[in-house]
Amino acid sequence: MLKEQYIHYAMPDFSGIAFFELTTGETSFFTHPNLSCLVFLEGQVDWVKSFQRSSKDDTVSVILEALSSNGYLKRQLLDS
Amino acid sequence: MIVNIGDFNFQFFNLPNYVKRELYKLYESEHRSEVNESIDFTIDLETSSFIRRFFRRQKIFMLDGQRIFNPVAYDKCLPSVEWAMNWCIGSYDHSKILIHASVVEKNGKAIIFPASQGSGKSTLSAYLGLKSWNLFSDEFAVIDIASGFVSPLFRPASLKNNSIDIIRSAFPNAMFSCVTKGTQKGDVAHVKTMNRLHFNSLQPAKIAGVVTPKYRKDSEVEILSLNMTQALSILIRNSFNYSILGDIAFKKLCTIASDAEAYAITYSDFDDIESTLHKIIR
Repeated sequence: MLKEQYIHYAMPDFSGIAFFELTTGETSFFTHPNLSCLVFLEGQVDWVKSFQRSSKDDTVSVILEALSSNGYLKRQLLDS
Repeated sequence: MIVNIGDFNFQFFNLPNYVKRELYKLYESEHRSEVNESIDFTIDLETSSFIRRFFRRQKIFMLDGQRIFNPVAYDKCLPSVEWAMNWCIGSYDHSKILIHASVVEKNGKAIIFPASQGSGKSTLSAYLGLKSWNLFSDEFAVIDIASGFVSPLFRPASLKNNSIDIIRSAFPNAMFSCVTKGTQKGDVAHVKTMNRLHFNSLQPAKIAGVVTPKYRKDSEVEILSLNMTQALSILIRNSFNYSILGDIAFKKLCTIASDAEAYAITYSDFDDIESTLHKIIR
């Protein structure tokens, strides 16, 4: 799941996910050519459904791993 | 002298007479000794020193007792009055999202031009404002946090160097201020694109397009479509107060970036780019 210090916005054209860090006020972007493989819903990534999908879809798994490596997602859920 | 530019009231003291005359012309302001409305910013143009009253006269721009610029030569005060108004809004108004951009509107839809200096955005927006578009601002996109709509400001367009002659030759009957030569930005003049009566009829508008224009002499028009992430990045990069407003601005700019069309356009001909802009607001 997304770490508590972040809010995010998933661009409807799948061009990227913008993250805003509430503690520092910093904005960062994550892009990936297969972002549409995640489950998007009204400007948000549905993290629960995306994690569920990752068990069957390697691309989703790679994207979530990258998001985790970049510090946006809680690590333990990916490892479980 | 009080200058109303729509959402903001400025009160000026000790303006040189030639600046007053120009401001009357550009803003249709009335000289009033009594203040019946709230003043957002009070700027006093103090004389710098006794000697400077007789030799190379200068004015010091003071906002609430604080000097905001280096002393300005007496005959170069008009552009500095405009820049002082920009500085006040950009530095102190955090009730709205402020983007460094010019804004034009037509049929209730606005296009904003966030771009760096030298991109030709002011020339382009002046041209459009003197044609059939409404120039909402050539400096700020003033965005309401709740609605995401951009508000009009009653300001003239600021022109520099070659742009002055380009716009003057295209619109010889337009109302220009005097040209101030040799400022830190070169020669500067202002052109009025609408009268107060017309301005009063304008309403805040939805942002339909985010366009970064780039003037390149003798080039064909080139249109590069930008994705929503690029549009958001441009909006954030050009915001004056994003870091102050924080997550509120983040959420609103995300919505604007995902609702608007975004392009990077290189052009040399105003009519070419105007036809492209019409497609955005169709």
